[in-house]
Amino acid sequence: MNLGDVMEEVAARLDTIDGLRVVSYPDGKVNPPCAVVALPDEITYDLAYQRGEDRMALPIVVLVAAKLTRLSRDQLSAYCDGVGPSSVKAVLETGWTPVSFGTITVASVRFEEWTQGAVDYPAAIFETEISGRGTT
Amino acid sequence: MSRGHGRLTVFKVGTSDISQYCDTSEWTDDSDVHDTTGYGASGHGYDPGLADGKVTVGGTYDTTALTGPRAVLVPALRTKVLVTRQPEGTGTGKPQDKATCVLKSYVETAPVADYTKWTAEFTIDGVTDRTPQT
Repeated sequence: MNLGDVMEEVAARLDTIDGLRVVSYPDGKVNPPCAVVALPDEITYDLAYQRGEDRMALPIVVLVAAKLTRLSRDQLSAYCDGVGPSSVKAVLETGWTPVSFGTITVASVRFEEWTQGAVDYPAAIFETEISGRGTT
Repeated sequence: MSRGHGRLTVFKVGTSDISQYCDTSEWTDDSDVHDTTGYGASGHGYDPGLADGKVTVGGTYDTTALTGPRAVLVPALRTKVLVTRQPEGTGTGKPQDKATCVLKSYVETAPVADYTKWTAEFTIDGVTDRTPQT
């Protein structure tokens, strides 16, 4: 798995969510509602013989407007829903076949303030588990 | 000193190389042991008996339909297949365990919050051929 290819492909898939702006790496710019595909903490190599499997946990940060309103709360809710056209989990796990990796599972989402510049944004941070061949 | 690393292992069933789907394997050569202790002995005496053995292998389930472990192993259940394990990888002179085996079991385990895993157990028919790779 090539990290850059994986981040680009995940970003492209997220970009199919209507109204969600997506950046494929943390470039320091946010324009809510938006999703930022962030760097993983680590890539784990050699989970199978002969470079058969590597894994990474790729965080996806979804931000909504800084002052949380009912509208932005509902936006965030739709992104965190387990189903629906805006569901990050449903969009990433179903309906497509990744090329740069094998499987993706959206394992959890947690909520916290995400500081960008001097602004704190309400954020949903999705933890994904991505696995793929070490030889491709 | 150079320590062997498990990641280099090659595991084949027949002509199918399933190494990239495996994360564990074990080749056990066992044998019967006959107790020959006679009256008056101060300790047990033993003689070696027939060889016996088994091979176990496992990994993470893969959906690769034609070459994945399920595709290779399920049709081989309760049949004799040639099993090959190369603990240092492929290369002339490197060690190799090879035996005709009966595929005794294939088990898939699917925990809800983790990857599906599989294991298989082979019973060795005869003895292990330990001739190094050519």
